[in-house]
Formats: sequence, C-alpha cells, structure tokens
Amino acid sequence: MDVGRDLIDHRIVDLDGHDVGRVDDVWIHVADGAAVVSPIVTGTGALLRQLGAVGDRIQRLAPHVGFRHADRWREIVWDDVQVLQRPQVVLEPRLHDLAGRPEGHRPRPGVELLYTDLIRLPVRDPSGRRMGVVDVRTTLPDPEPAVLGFLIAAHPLRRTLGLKRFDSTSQRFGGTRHHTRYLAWSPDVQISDGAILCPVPFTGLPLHSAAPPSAPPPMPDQPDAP
Amino acid sequence: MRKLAAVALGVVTAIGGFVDIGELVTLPAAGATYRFALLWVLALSVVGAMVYAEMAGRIELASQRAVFEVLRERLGFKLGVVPLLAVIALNVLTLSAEIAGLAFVLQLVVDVSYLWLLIPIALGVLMFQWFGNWKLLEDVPSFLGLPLLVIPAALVFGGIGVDWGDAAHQVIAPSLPTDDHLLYWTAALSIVGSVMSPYEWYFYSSGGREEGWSLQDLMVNRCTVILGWSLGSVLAFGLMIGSAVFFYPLSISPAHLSQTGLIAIAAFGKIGLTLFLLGAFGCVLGASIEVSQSAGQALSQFFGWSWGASRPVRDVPKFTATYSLAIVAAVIILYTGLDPIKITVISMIFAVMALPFTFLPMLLVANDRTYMGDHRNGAFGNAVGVFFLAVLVIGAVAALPLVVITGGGG
Repeated sequence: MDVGRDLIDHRIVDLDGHDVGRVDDVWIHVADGAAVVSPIVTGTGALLRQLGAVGDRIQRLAPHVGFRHADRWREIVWDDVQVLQRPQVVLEPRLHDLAGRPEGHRPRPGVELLYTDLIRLPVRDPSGRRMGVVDVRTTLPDPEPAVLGFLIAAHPLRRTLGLKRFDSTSQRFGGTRHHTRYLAWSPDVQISDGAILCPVPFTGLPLHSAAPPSAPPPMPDQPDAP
Repeated sequence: MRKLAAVALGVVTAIGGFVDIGELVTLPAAGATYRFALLWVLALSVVGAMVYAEMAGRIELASQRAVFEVLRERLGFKLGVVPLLAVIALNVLTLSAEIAGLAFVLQLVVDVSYLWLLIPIALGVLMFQWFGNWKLLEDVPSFLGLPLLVIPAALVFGGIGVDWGDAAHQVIAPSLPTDDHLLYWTAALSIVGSVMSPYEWYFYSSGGREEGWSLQDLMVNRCTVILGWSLGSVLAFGLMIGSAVFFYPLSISPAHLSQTGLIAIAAFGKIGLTLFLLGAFGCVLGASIEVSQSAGQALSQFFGWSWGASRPVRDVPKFTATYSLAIVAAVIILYTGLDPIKITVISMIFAVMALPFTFLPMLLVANDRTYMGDHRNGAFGNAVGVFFLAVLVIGAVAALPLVVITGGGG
C-alpha cells in the first residue's frame, strides 16, 4: 500500500462503525536495516504540529480557553488494529474508546520520524541532485507494514498542485507522471542529516511503472474490488 | 420495487428541497432586472449541480466516503483545513440568511417584526434536529416545500402571458445588457452560488451514509439526481420567469418575499398565496436544516468524530455541538443589524469562491482507481466536470472584486 494514499487521514472506527478519530500521522521506524510503519498516531497534537508556527501558537493559547489536550496525541500499535480496510482502520473491540489510553511516545533504538516529516525531506543522490518524496510504498500490515520503497519526483509539491499526494495507481487527473521514480528500500538507503540519501544516481532508478505494484487494503464487503 | 420507491421518494425530496432562500431572493431579482437574460446561467448551473451531485453520490457509494472525508484524505489536514474553515464560515452566513428567510415568511402570517421571530425559529430548527431523525429531517421539509410548485403552475395554468419561445431562445442565445456589465455578472455569480450551494453536496453525500446506500444503489443515485434536480429546477425557472413577466415591465425589483408571492396571487388568489407561503416555509426550513447539518457533518467527517442525524444526541456530542453553535452564531449575526437580503446575496457569491475547493478533490477522487474501481468517471463525466471546474475557478477569482466594486450586487 502507499501510506499517504491508503492510511494517512483515513477514518479510525470501532467494530460497530463508530468514529474514533483519524490517522493523523504514523511513525516510520528504521532499525537493523529494516523500516516499518508503526505506530499509528491520532490526536490534536499530531494535527497542530503540521501547521508549523500557527499550530505552535494554537497549542500555547489552547489551555487558556480550557482545552488542555492540544499538545497530545495517542498511538495505536498494529496489534490493536483488527483490520485495515481501504476507507478505514478498524480497531479491536476493547479500543472503542481511546480516551483511556496512555499517551506519549516511547522512543525506540534506531531512527524514528513521523511520516509528515519524512515526506518533507529532500532525497539526494551521490551527485547531489535533489528530488522529493511523493509517497512511501509498504507491504500490507503483517503485523506491521514494512517499507518497500519511496516514490520520488523532482518537484512533488508543484506537480500535485499542493495536494497531499498523487493517485499512484494511474496517470489520469492528479495521477503519477511518467518521470516519477521508485527508490527501493535497502540498508544502503540512509535517512540522516535532514535528507534521504539515495546510494545510486537517480537516472539508475526504475520508473514508477516498473515498481512493485501497490496493493491497497481491501474494501469492506467488496473482496473482488480492484 | 424497493428501488423504484427509493427513486420516487428521492425525486420528491429533491424537488421540494431544491429551492432555498438564496434562490428565493436572487432568482426573482435577476428576472425582474434582466428579464430572461440570465436564464442561461440558471440552466448551466442546474446542469453543473447535477453533474457534481451525481459524482458526490457515486463517490460515497463506490468509496464509502462522504465529500469531506474525501477532501481530508486527498488534500491532507494542512491544506484541507482551509476549505473546511471557508465552508463553515459560509454555512454560518447561509444559515443566517435561511433563518431570516423563515422569519420573513412567518412575519407575513403573524404580522410581527421578523426580529422577534428569530429566536423562536432558531430554537424550533434546533429542537427538530435534536429530536428528529434523518428521514424526518429530509422528508418533512421537502414535502412541505412542494406547494411552491404553485409558481410554475401559475405561469402555465394561471393565464399569465409568458413568451415561452423567447424564454427558450434566451437560454441558448441570451441578449446581454449593453451597460452595467459588472452588475450583470455579479447577478450571474449569485445565481451560480444559489443553485450550486456547496452544502447541498455535503448533505447529499452524507445522506448516502445515513441511509446505508451500497453499490446496488448507483442507479437510484443517478435517477434521483437527474429526475429530482431537473424537476426541482422547474421551481427555480418558475421564480425567474415569473418575476421577469410580472416585474420587469414595471421596472420593479421584488425586495420582499411577499412581492414574489404576487405571481401566485395573480393566478390563484388567496389559495395561491397560502400555497406559496407554505412552500416557501418548507423549502427554507429544509435548507436551514441542511445547512446546519452539513456544518456538523463537515467538521465531524474532517476530524473523524461520530456523526449522524438519526443517532441520539449523547452519542454524537461534537456533531450536535457544531450544528447547534452554527445556529447560535447565525442568529447573533442577524441581531448585529446586517441586512439579511445583503447577507443572502453575499453568501451566494462567496459560495462560488468555495466551490472549486470542493470540486477539485471530488474530480480527482472520481478518477482514482483505488477509490472508485470500475465506477470511475468516464470521458463525458470528466469533460463536463472539468468544464464546470474551469467556469467556477474563473467565477471564484472574479467574485471578490465584483462584490467590492458593486457593493454586493448593488
């Protein structure tokens, strides 16, 4: 699946279909040469940090108007997810009310960064050329999604008209372009110094059309949907 | 048989729910000022409204996402929050106009200043939503709005001489005014904004979830939109043509609902007036509910809160608080002394500015294979969708300067 397309901003519901929140962010965790997507992040704090200085100001002002959770978010590990469907993340029954969950992130060894931070990082090749991340392609959760690679393009923001992401399944309106490339994850790919370092020149990377296909989560009650 | 009944009910509610205070204000004014010269804008807007309503319904059916869920997923939080805030502000402004419209209708019946009626009406609209369920909220006002068909009926059966040939000709080849172009285009934009009100799509696509639509209901969606919107537009055309025939020769612009009611009185006397008032009340009540509900739906869908008109208030506290606060804010705006008619016209024009933000993500998602599967837009749907998006982008860019230069349409 593609994290931006298939996970970020999607509904989180309980088994009865009641809305619990939205996937406001996810952690990307790199350790021992492997990268996985875990845990899911939901809450006001995760949203406001995406607004930069405006979000900081709101977080500072919020307690003065009686809202004391503006800097907090909750994290959901994949063991707590019953099923991931195309429009939603369905939680285990015991998690229908996230209000009672412990809050705060417990740091782990290795590199950790949030998806919304990762897609802002430049991708650099050995010659110093620069591209940007369009989306992160992963396996379906088993138990957690493993990063397969990155879809990268020269000017992702300009090419998406400021939209969050491309439609990585087509080249129609808002879809990926012919020159989008695929950087497969390997231990040689490093995330450091505020950049994703690509071990080979961009011209040596396969085009998006040659990348392993994205397998989006299934639709509920529509197992044969494409 | 179940589908036929669903289509029939959907068509009836679409007819009764087609007109709101925006149309009741802008269409008679446009007819009285420009006769038939803006009929083409109305026709174009109806087609645009149908195209995007069908798309919103299809997206809900195929992707199981309402419009604001799509908007959040496609734009992301950071960019999506901009149209969200714009739409909430627009909804509150429109709600002010709708509540004032209800007060104007009741004022004609009870002969009390509309300012005294605002709070009781707001409380009534609030209680109806607190204690009603989806079917009640959708069906009751729509059925109450059907008597507004008295206006087109008056034109056809009431002995009012309408030059139908000229009206039809003006739809295809309009005679543009030789002067006051800015006012003409401002009136055109307010017609687009009144017919293509953003809240209608949010409410319509959210209705799919409320009613538990599935992919089997694709045909119901299409028939409801095509038949319901087409027949509903008869009301809108009736208002503009009736006003053009009635007021244009006298150089009078109807400044009050009661003046528009003269069309019904001329054809059917007191019964005509009664039907007009009942229909206007039903239509505007329906719109008040739709606008306030859509404010709650938009915010809830964007942030992932529980929502639903049929669910107990205690199960959907944030959704209930949102539409309740929207109603309170709308009433406060009215008590500031702003002219409700001016609020209506300006909110219609600002609606045009908000539309591209809704249309673009809808068009993108309607082409996204992972969302839509086999139900993606075809070439025709895309051509029409892109055409209306381009028209609305031009309209949105022009809207603010036009409002400033013309002082809100004069």
